Amino acid sequence: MESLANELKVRIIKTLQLEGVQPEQIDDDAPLFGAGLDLDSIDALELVAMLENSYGIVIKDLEAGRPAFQSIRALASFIQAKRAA
Amino acid sequence: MAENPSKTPHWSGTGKLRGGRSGIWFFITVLRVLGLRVTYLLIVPVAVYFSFMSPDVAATMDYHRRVFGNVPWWKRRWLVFRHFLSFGRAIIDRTAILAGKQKYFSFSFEEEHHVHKALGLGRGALLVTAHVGNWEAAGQLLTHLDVPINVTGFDNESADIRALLSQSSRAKFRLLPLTGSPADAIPLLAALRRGEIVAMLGDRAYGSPSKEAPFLNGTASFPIGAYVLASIANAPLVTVFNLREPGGHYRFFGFPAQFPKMPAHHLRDDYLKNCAATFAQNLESTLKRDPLQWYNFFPFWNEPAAPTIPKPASELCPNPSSR
Repeated sequence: MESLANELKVRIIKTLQLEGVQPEQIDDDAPLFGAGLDLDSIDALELVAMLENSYGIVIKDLEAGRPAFQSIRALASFIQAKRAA
Repeated sequence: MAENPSKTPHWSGTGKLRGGRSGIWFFITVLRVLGLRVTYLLIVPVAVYFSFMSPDVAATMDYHRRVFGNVPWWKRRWLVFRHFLSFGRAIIDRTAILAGKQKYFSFSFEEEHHVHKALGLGRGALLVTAHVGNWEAAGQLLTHLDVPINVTGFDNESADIRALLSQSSRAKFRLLPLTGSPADAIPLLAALRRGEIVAMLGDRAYGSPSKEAPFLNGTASFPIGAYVLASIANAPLVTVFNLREPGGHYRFFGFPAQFPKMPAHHLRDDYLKNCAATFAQNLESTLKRDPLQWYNFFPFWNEPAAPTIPKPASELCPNPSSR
């Protein structure tokens, strides 16, 4: 779980080209959108594509997937749940 | 990222053609029995009616002020009528083409090589077009490109068009919904990965991410999702339009392929603004050929027509030579 969270941070930084942001600077519980990393709808598009490319997870409905995008921790447990399923 | 000022969903935003299925079948029947010219005549009273009664007259006049300047009141009315007549003719042409009556029309597509070249890379291609001319005619131009075409954000709900499409057994066209959710990207990216074409409208955001750009003496919001998709899929993006020329001739316009690549995060918004500005310039130059073939009857600008000339975009979206 911890390693998945770290891996996600690295991937998010790389995908969105967040220059100057280090993985350890991202709090596991900080919101991804609106505050915290302050990502927007364009970032969401890139993240949805990243999840598919890197984890084979297809978000069909973003409303249903919304809780997963709350924070790094939420996203990591979402991916784990998908993997277990 | 300004939202469009209109509060209620706009009828042309839903892509729903007034009249629905019975209207379309009426016109197809008239077309079969009496031919194209008579069918055009039938649209004249409809255009007169709409040029007075349509809720889109104000938006249409605002557009006309931007392209034709200040003209006397009677000419304003006349232009609105001509514009709606042109729209009616486009719907008839589209219906006729869907019904397999291509014999009435001719097509030329000298600039299609931009699309061929882009597809030749084997990474699919995004085609960004606008409410200009007749996308069904443009589809005709593209049917001989032996590649499935995924159409999104066009006449989305339109069951009529869908039914007609399947009737004309052109399974090469696939209509994909555009809901404004980032999840819309998944089937589009999959299509690009298969080397297919994804066609989108560049002059209406439908709630998807957009950026402001100078356009016809003002500022308007243009969707930029296509550029992000192209960047993710590493796919070329070609801006394409088509216009009807006299005698039922449809001409295809293409611009050199772009290869959008998102820069570092803090530069991204400016980059996308430039992409939107490039598209707006291409649209503007195409519309100047025949302003009455823009069928985006919609309060498109962020402010009313101003007398000043907007500054051109300082830096354009990068072109293929840079890669």
